[in-house]
Amino acid sequence: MTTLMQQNILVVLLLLFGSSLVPSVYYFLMGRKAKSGTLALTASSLNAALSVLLLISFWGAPELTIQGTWFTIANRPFNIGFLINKLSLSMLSLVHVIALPVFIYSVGYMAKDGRIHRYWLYLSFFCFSMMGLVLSSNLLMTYIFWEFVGITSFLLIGFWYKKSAAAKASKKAFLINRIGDVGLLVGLASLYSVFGTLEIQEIFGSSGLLSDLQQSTEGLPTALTWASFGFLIAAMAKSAQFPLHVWLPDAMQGPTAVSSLIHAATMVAAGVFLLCLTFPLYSIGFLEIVALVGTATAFIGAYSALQENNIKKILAYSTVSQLGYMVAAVGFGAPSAALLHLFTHAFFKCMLFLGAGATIKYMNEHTQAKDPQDIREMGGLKNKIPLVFVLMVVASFALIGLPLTSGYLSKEAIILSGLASGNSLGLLLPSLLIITSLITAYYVARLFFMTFFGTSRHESLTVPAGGNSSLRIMSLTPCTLILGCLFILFSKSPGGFENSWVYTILPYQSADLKAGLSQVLVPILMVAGSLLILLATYYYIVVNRAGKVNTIAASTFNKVKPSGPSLWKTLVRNTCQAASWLEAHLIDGILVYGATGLFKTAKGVKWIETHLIDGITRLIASFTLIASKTANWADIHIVDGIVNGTGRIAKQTGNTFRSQQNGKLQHYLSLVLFFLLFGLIYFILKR
Amino acid sequence: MEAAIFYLISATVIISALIVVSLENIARALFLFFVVLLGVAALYVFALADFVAIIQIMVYVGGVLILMLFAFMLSSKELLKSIEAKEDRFISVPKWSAVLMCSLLLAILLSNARELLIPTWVIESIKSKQVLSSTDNTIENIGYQFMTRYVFQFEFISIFLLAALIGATHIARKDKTL
Amino acid sequence: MIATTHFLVVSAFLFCIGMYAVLAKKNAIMVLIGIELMVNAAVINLVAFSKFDKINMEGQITALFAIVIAASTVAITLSLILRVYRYHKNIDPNKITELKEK
Repeated sequence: MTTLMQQNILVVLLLLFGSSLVPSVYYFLMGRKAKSGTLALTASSLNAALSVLLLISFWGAPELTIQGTWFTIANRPFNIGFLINKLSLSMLSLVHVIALPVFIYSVGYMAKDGRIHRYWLYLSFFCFSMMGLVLSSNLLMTYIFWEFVGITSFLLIGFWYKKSAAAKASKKAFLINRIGDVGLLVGLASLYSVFGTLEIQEIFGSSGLLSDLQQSTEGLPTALTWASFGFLIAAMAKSAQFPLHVWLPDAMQGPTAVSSLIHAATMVAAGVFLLCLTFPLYSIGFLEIVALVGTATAFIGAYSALQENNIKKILAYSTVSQLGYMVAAVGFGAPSAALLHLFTHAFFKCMLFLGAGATIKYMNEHTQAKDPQDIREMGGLKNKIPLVFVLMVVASFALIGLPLTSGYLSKEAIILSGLASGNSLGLLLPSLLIITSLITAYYVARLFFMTFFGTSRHESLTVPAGGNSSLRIMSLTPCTLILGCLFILFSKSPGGFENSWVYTILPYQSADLKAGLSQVLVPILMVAGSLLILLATYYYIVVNRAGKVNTIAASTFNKVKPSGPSLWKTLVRNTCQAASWLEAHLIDGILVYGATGLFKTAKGVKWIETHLIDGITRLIASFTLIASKTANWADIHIVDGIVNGTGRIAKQTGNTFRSQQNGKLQHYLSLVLFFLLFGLIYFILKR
Repeated sequence: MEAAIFYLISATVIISALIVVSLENIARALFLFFVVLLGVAALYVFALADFVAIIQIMVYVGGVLILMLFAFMLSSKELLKSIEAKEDRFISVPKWSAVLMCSLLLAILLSNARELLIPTWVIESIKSKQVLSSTDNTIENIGYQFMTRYVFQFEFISIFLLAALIGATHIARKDKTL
Repeated sequence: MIATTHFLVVSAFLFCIGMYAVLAKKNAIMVLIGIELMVNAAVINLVAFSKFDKINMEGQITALFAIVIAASTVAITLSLILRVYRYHKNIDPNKITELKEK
């Protein structure tokens, strides 16, 4: 039975790998001739269907490892194989389910690109490597696919490499990811030095080597701490955690579909996935560092999003912020919450990006906006692209974390587990996360209202015939993801994240949430705050900007009919006037100044980022430059010297010996005698 | 007396050999080579090998040297001319690297001669009184040996000598086509 | 009765002189003379040790063979020298470098 099942699963898995790899190979071989994405699309649909089927059929079955020996070093076998459990299969399904709409969307988005065959190649290869990453049963394999994913990301960010910004961004992403790769390598090496194996199941399994080690009375080896830090750095680089997050906003130079799949939904989650996978490794003290990193990232990401005007960059910073939430959740000892947020975030952020892509496409093709990605150029798009509007509404609500959405579930889960965890920083981190969530509400609202409400700032151009077909694909496809933005996909009740199926994925016990005041208060606070900010932003951006300077109170005042006793009338009038005044001066003031202040601080943060972090980066860069110059010098003068010297010596020796080969009989005889003498002397001395 | 003559002959041989290799003129060197070969023949006599000495004189002095001289003189004029062209010096300039190596070889050989390891078969033959004395007639014994023990080698060397002589004439003959 | 060692010393001298002629002389006939000197040196050794072999006389008989072979060598070498001279117009062994890889 088990063997049969194994075989079935193996067949399905091989089918999956094949259907990911075949398009890559096909597009690689065909080159420019392969224009249509039919094969990639077919493969992607097959992948999505198969992976979901596999997940559903496997659900509840015991963990399974299918592997064979790959190679053996000194009696230590390295296996190649698949680790089949809920985590890997659900990640697999996530990747493929998100990938499918992105693939379809790409048909419209990349329709006119001349290098589309490469696009399909990269995208298919990304699916392949991501699949390998989540399924591998061996950390060495994970590492290989981790690199594959990194290189695909690099290639896709720099897809339009003729744009210098894209080329630079891809370089930046690649370099920063290298830091993470080194971290991962250090982690792997440390683990191997302790356990002598890299099998995930053998190390992290419930009765694996790690738990044996933790239960034994001897202290844990220092190498484990190194491993922890290595994995954290790897996750920080891949999942864009502060201060290694700088590559992600720049990565938006790639095609938007890529941003939505790779730099929002799946690849950047690989770091969180890694942290969840290796969760048993982390000590309590280390988890606090993780939580700190995550929270800082969440806050800084959200704050940076405030001052951005580029629609994709806002979303990118938002991604950074949300990834910070996930990492913080791991730090709070609730990897399940992190995973839940990973899943929900993948859906709504992907939708947001796809919607943004459609918006940009619209702006590009139908208006004369100078920068089609600038939200200040947009406005009033609600009626122009209603479908996009609808899906952006849903996704934004999920991102803010309003009830009934999936985002609500996961954010509650993270913040509540943060409150429940015995973090030494107490309430600081959870409250920072709550504040971040409110900031999120503001920047999302700002993006949203500025894009879709108000008056359009550009006249609509006449739509060229057929020009809308790709836009239609682009606005219709993301709608399939709407289900993922609602709570229903993840949990039966809108607030019961603990009953979510995601919580059964990981075998680790999450921190027990105390049923207390915070359980009730925090959601109310967050939802109320978010709604308030939403309304205020609506008022400030839409109503205020639309030229209707009248305050709400003033309009109320105008509606009040002058009737009744004059005193009452006067009172009402005066109250209303006062209220109007108050509202006009106080609330508006607060809002305006608050917003301006917020804006200014955000600029400050940006300043800090540009000057401090970039300064540090530049410092590191100059150090690297100096080091590399030194290395270059050494290379030229020492290494090359040695090499050339060796060559010269060899040449001279060769010349010397060649000159012996001069064809002169007596010379040969002399040589014979010479060596004969040597031999004779040797024998005499030996005797 | 015997030793004195031996040393005299040895000295003659060595010195004339040295002069032979130092001479620039080949004709002179060849005539001096006579002296060396005769001296060596005399040394053979001292080593109680009369027959070998006779053969040495017959083959070398009577054969080889005459062959050399005749080949030298009866062959083409150009050969003589080219040799005579270099006759500006009496003694050639020694080639020092060769001198060095040869002296080194000599030194090695002589250093061994001081403490010579006597082979066991020599010691045994001395013990069993098998040493040749000056009164023994060696020629008879050599004749027997050639016809019995070394008959194959003897026949072989005869044919070899014949073949070599035929080959030599074949090579040396004037043939424009070669 | 002369000690064997004396013969060996004389033979060593002759051998080295012959060797010098082979290595250094610029004329093929002188090289040939050098070779003959070396052969003679070897024959002296053979003859000197033959003293201890009364019955078989191996040394003397080998010496005879050696002399005969040397004679044939001389004959062939001389004809070769003539041939080489005809071909190269030269009998300096250092100038005949056909063995060298071109």
